[in-house]
This record gives sequence, structure tokens and C-alpha cells, in this order.
Amino acid sequence: MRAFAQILLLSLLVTMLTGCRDQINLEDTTLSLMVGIDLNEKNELLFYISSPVFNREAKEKSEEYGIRSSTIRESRMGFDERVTGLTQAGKIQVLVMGKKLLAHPDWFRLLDVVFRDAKFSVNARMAVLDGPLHELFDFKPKDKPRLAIHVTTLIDTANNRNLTVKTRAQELHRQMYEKGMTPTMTELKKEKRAVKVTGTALLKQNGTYASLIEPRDTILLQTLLHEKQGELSVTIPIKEPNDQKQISKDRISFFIKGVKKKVKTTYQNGRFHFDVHFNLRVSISERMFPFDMEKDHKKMERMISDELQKDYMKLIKKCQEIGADPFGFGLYARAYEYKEYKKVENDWTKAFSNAKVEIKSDVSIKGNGVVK
Amino acid sequence: MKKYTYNQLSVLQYILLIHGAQVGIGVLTIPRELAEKASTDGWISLLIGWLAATLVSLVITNMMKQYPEKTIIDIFPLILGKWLGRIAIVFMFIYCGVAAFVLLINATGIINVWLLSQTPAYVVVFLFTLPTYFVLQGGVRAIGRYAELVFYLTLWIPFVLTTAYREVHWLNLLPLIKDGWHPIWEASKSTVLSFLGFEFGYFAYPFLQKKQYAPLGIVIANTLTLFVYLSVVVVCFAYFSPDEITQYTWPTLNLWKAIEFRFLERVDILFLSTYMFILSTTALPYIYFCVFSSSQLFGMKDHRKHLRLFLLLVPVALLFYTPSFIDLKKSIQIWSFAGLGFAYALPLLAWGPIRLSKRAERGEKA
Repeated sequence: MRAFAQILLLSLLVTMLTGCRDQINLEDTTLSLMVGIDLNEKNELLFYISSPVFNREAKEKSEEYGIRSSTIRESRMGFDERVTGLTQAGKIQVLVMGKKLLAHPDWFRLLDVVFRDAKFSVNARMAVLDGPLHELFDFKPKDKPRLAIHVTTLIDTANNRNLTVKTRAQELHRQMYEKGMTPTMTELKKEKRAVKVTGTALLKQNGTYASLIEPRDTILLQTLLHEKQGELSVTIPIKEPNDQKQISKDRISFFIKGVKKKVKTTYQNGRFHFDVHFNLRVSISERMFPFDMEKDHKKMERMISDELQKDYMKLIKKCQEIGADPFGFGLYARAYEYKEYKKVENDWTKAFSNAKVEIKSDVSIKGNGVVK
Repeated sequence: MKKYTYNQLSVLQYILLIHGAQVGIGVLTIPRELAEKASTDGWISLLIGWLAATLVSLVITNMMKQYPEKTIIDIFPLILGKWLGRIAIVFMFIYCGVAAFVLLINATGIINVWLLSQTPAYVVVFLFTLPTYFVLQGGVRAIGRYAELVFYLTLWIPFVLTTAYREVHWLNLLPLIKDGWHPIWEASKSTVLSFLGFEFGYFAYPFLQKKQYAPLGIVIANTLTLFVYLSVVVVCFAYFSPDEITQYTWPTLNLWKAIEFRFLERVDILFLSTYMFILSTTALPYIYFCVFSSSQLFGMKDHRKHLRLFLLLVPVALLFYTPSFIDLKKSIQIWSFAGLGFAYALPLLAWGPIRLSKRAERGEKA
């Protein structure tokens, strides 16, 4: 009798577990994988979703909708009126913002639901599209996987090669609130037959769009941020006296095998000084001009480091001019010159554009490839 | 004479029982609470909180040593007299009951926000009560064993957490002592309450097999708790920006949200489910000693009758009233305040008189 009562109680418990009111069947859901927010000419907010279709009868493998609405949560209502299942936000992979929207300083507030609703995925990659969003969401390439999957993989692989950053929503939240750095995100462009990663969008302190840096410069930005992460392959021009006519230019390409970064932070005469010292271990992968590496490898190391130094300085100067600090130099200022940083923390980018940054790089060539 | 010998705890169980009772809801909120007051220096405040808790714990074990075979419930009538003692037991019973109730409704509240937003609170809490009953009917020893089991079951957590290390910024922790010692002292006030749970020294002492290890055990329990808190707080500070961390109600959970594996997308759900076990090791001792006190008060040997009543009352209470998030916050404050009295003030006040009376007793015998 006692055992019977216990079994009854346990089975009651099990039935209650499945019967929780949050139960939802997979076939009743529409998993939004890519979400877009844009502004039209009349300054109205447009919301887009792209979600996969798991139905044998359907010819298209994914469905895309765009509606006018005022918030993300409100737009869900509009989508639920149109899509087959109930829209779920837990699997969002990419959040695309229109470039026009990013011109407004309060666009970040639109993402409130992403951080407030625990069911929202905060692992979505953040991207900005140069152009109207409907072009991207209407794009149905025949030779690519489902659009949302394609864009996700595109960003991930481009990030593996360090051609762009991979800013997830939670990371963007950190960058937006962090006073000592400015946010960055992937920039995309819809070309005639493909979606292209055009580099990294730099945002200002308040989140408005500032400028674009190219994939080449993103590699430099990434080494400044993370030292070495993923594959770093750099091609740079080298000036070598050459009078022959040739089609190939004087370029040299190399892998960066390892990066060591040291930042010395000081405060002198009313401005911050950052002395960044790089130690790069590289391996030559392509050389477009004759050179005696065995004899002159020291000279080559110097030439590469001079060229890199120049590129780094150019990138940093550009950021200082547009009022952005995507490198997070403010973090160093806070850690090592707290008193002075505290005075300027609310307007860090201004202090940064006034700061003196010096880059020194030491290159050591560890490999020369298979041929001489 | 020896009332509790049938239900003994090993030293490890004693340590993990107290440690389990300490690590509770606080783990989820403490990074924010410390950051609000002391920014990234908050971890220093933890050390202060640990020191205070450990000192009081030692006072408690020393006090209980005077009556090796008795819990606080048996001691109250001895030193306060029959009627005053009974009133003290009632207070103890209310304290444990409030703590247990606060923990249950907070666990339910977190589940409702993170996982089951449509399921009513009383259903969730009913799901808690059944396993709770199965464990608690076995008495102190079952709780000790349960605490030990849960401890082993949660050992994977620090390893998974290391995947978040890729995105940490250790620079956030610098400079040390940003704005002087004042904010650190301020923040240490809230850490004092995160170590609540060592007051089970009042109850667990007579159950302990090898009583000579009681002071050592309670220090180890406190230190283990300190390590858990320190690792959580330091990782959170390094992961979130000091300007950002105060935006999150439960920063520790947000940390898990960002972890993603190729084969598993939402680790936070897995963590939260495991976390319910950790939370149960906090709630269970409070529920047990609540019904233990009340049944002792009525002179009953078996605590199960009161246990059933308590576990029935909680879902019924939630059926009629679902606490709002403000109520939850207030309830924690009430418990913290009560804890300050029962865990910190009571032993400090009672220790002196007890020692004196014991010495006088010994003097009479001699």
C-alpha cells in the first residue's frame, strides 16, 4: 500500500514536469535566426526576420518577413500573424542594424529586450549593413545555404581570418557601457550576387556610427585587442630598388605566429602616453621579389617592422581623429593612471584623441617557407 | 542521555552541510552588490566578511562545547528557564522558517524569470517540495549525505567556467584599492550576510561524531565558501566591465549565458538546473531545523508531521499570493537582518554568560 502510494506520487510528479505551461512543440515554432532593424525614408522603424522552414512541401528553405513596428517585442506580434509557428528568439544568430539607424544616438535602447528577456539569445553576432536591409533579407542565393546560416558562417570565418570582429550582443553591451573603449561591429554590404564583409564598423562612445576600417586594418586592430587569435596573414609592400619592368608588385606576405604585447601607460604634461611594444614572430609565406634571406634577414625584419609600425600609427591616428577608441586604451588608463582617468572617464574619447600613442614592433622571422 | 547518537554526521558531512547552507542565492547577486559599493575592489571585502564569519563561528563552536549533547533548542530552556526558553525557541523556529520560505520563493522567482515564465509559482514550488520531503524525512544524517552528494555533483562547474576565460579582461581588476578603504568597508557589510549558514553550528554540533573537529570543520566550511565566492566574483569582475556589471540583477547567470559550445547553445539553462541542487542544500537545513524546533517545542520526537505541514503550506501560500520582484528583494533583506541577530549577535552576547555559568557549576561540584 505504501509502495503504491509512493509510485502514485512519483508518477504525478513526472506528469507535472511535462505539463508545465511553458511547453512548446518544435513544429509549432518559428526559429528566428537573423533579425534586422532599419529605418525607412520616413524615419519609421522596420523589423525583419529570417527563419528556416522545416517542411517538405515548402519549396523555399527559409522565410523572410519585414514589418513596420516600434519595438522588437511589438514586432513579434506582427510576425506571429504571418509566419507558420510562434516566433522564438532563443536561437538568433545575427542581429543586423541598418546604417541609417546607427546614425541615431539612441538606437541601442531598441535592444533592451535582448538583455531583459532571459529567453533571448545574447550570443547573436552584431552587424551593420551598408544599405537598405530589405535587399539583404530578400536575397535568395541558389548556391548558398539558408541566408541566416550563410551570413552567420560568413561572419565567423571572416573573423577567424581576422578580417572583421565578432561582437556578440553581450559583448556589445559591455562595450557600450565601458567608458574606456568604444564599440565595434561587423560591417556587411549586399553586392549584386553576394553578401560581402567590408570590414569593421567603428562606433562612437554613444553608439552612433563613426567610420569603417578595412579588413587589412582590422587585422591590426585584432592584434592590438587580443594579441593572437585565429589566423593572421598580412601582406605589405616593401620598397626594394628594382628597375626591371614587372607585373607583380613588391609585396611580401607572412603569417603571424605569435604576438606579445606590452603597454606602458603614463601621464605627463596633461596627456596620456601609451607605449605599445609588440613582439611578433612571423613566417614568410609569399615573396614577390628576389631577396637574399640568408644574408639579409635582419634587414628584412627591420623593413617589415617599419612598415607595420607605420600602419599601426596610421590606424591609431585615424581613430583619434574620428573620436573612437576601439582598442580599449581607456582600460589601461584606468588600471595604471586611475586618478587622471577618473577625471576624464566620461569623455574618454576626447582624452584619447589628445593622447600620445607610440608603437614599437620587433619582428623576428621564424620561418621562410619551403623554398629558399 | 545521548539523544542524537542515532543520527550522526561525519566530519566531511558536517563541513559540507554548513558550506552548502552558506552558498545560496548570494552567489548569483554578490558580484553586483559588491561592485555597486566598492567597484572591482569588492573581493577584498569578501576577505573581511570571511574573517568576521569565521570568528563568530569559532565562538559558536566554543559555546556549544559547553553542552556537547545538546542543540540550541535544548540549551535555551536550560539557561533562560522554561518559559523564556520557549519564547526563544519560537523565535528560532520563526527565523528558520522565514529563511526557508525566503529561499523557496526566491528560487521560484528566478525559475520564473529564467526558465518557466508561464508556469505559476505554486506549481514550481510544489515540484520542489516532493524531493525535499524525501530527503528531510531521513533527518540530519540524510541532509549531510545529500549535501555531500550535491557537492560532488557540482564539481564540473569551475571547469566549464574556464571557457569564459578567453574573454576576460584582467585589467579590470586594477588598480587595487581604487578609492581608498572606505567603500571596501561599506561593501564588507553586505558580504557579512553572504556567509550566513554557519549558524548551523548551533544545531549540527551534537550530531557530529568527532566533536574535537568542530572548530576546524567550521573554519574549513567558511574557507570553502570564501573560495567559491572569490572565484565567482573575480571572474565576473574580469568578464564584465566595472561600468556595466551593475546593470545585471544576476551577473553570475549572465556569465553563463555567454558561454556557448558547438553542441550546446544555452549553457545557462543547464547551469541553472544544477544550481537548484546547490540552492536546495541551503534551503533544506533551514526547513529541517524549522520543523525540528517546532516539533521539539511541542515535545514531539518525530519531525515528519510538521514537515508535511510546512511543505503543504508553502505551495498553498503561493497559490494565493505570488511575490513580486520587490517583495523578493525585501524578503532577502528581512532574512539578512534576522541573520545578523541570530548568527552574529546571539553567540557574541550569549558566549560570556554561558562560560561564566559553566565555570560556576564546575566550581560548585569541586
